[in-house]
Amino acid sequence: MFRINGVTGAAEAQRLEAWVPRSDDQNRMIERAVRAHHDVVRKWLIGRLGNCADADDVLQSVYLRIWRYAEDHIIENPRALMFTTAARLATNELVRRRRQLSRDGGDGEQDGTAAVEADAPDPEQQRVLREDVERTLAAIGDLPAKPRRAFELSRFEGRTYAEIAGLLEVSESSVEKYMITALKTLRTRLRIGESATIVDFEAARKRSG
Amino acid sequence: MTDARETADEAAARWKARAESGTFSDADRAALDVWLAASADNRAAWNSYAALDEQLDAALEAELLADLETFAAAEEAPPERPVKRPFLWAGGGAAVAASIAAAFALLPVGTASVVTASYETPIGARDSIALSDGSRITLNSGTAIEVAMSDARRRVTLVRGEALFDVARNRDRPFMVEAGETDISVLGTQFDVAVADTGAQVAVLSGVVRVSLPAALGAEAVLLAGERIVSDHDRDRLGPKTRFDPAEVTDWQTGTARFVEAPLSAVIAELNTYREQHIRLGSDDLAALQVTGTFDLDRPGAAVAALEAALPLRAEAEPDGGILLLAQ
Repeated sequence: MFRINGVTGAAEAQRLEAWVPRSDDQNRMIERAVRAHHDVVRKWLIGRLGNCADADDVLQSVYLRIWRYAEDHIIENPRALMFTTAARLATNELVRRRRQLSRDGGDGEQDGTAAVEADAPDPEQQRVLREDVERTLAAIGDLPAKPRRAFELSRFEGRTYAEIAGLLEVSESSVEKYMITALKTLRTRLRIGESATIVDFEAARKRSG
Repeated sequence: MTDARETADEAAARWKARAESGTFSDADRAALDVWLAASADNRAAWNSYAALDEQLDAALEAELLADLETFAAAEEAPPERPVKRPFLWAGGGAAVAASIAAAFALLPVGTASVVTASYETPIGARDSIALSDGSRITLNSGTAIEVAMSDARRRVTLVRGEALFDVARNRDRPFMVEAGETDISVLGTQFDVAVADTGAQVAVLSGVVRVSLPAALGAEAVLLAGERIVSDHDRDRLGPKTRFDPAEVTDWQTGTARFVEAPLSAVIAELNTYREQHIRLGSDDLAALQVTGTFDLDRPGAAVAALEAALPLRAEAEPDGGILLLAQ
């Protein structure tokens, strides 16, 4: 499990020497956590993503992330790390599916280890994030019933409008209207776009292209 | 906000909704790109929805994490069986006059306390209970439940009948329902459970629910809104997930039952849920007669009259107060 790659120089070797015992313990701890929670996380992913293939892909990425992260971080709570990583990557998968629906080649490789490292914001950041999330969830909860259901099925469960139309027994064009209502209401309610910090889409595209 | 800006906002919302429909083509995408290139107002409006996405996705991630925690908590914890106590009215059913009644007890369990309560509806009555956590349970006719609330868990046992659960979201306290041998665990959602000797039926109206048969390893399913499953307690297995009409499942709440091309036997079984004196079929040939219609559950007599009018049937009163349906 422990990899020594491209190590050169005595100082580096010495640093490693001092580091190995702890890291080895850590690896064992992670292995234990992974073994203890594998089944639960896999079952959960299958339920949320709807199929075994995507669930196994995501789970594989979760493990890779955790191992990589553990190489230079001390893991205090492997279970929490595994869960937050799984939630993060499941979200990414749902976002990826949505991008695919909208033919958005988009930013593509936006994961990398950054996502895991961002898993430990300081308490103040955490508080702000939590408040943002709660405000967002409250705003979703306050939507009129039908737009809310359509929105949740689309965004949280990754359903197409045709599937949603079947579930809600309305036409696809009604689903689209519900989504327009939901998006407009949420944007207004969450006051997005009122500050002047928006990056011009076209300019950003040119820069990245 | 200027008119141009307002128009751009409206159009951006439409584009956004179109783009996520599942039927957005490459040509549509090209048209969107043309629209974006057309004006800075368009781009600003579109970008504001991209910023909204970031916030919504952060909320989605928090929801998913909470959901995983609940799922894992339910999965890892051995089921905490509430102390079984006999119903206050067990055996003396005829004496139940109130439409609903409850018994409370405070039982110390280790350091944590579990508050338990029992609720029951007589045949022909429905009632709704508000739990201390903000959840609501609506009981159909002839239903009995036991509720055990602790700081760590909310557990309801559906002893018999059918109930609709409207669960208040609480990530720290999983909500579990035990229906015979079927276990159901949820985070915050609305779902309907009916239990019989042979199995349980779970229908999810919103959110996500996990159904499992602890007796059978691997017999479990995660149900999303609009999905229903029936468990078989005799053979220890779950049936396939099927879609259902939400109105059909919750009709009983409003005192109506709706049938579309249902066999008469199913209609009678449903009506009998609401009557002490049962309706019986005079011959097996009648069971397959097709029935379509809406019945008032609070007036089963009217339902029988409607059946008589619509089908080649006549009703005969039986000495015990029951009704016998015979071919005309």
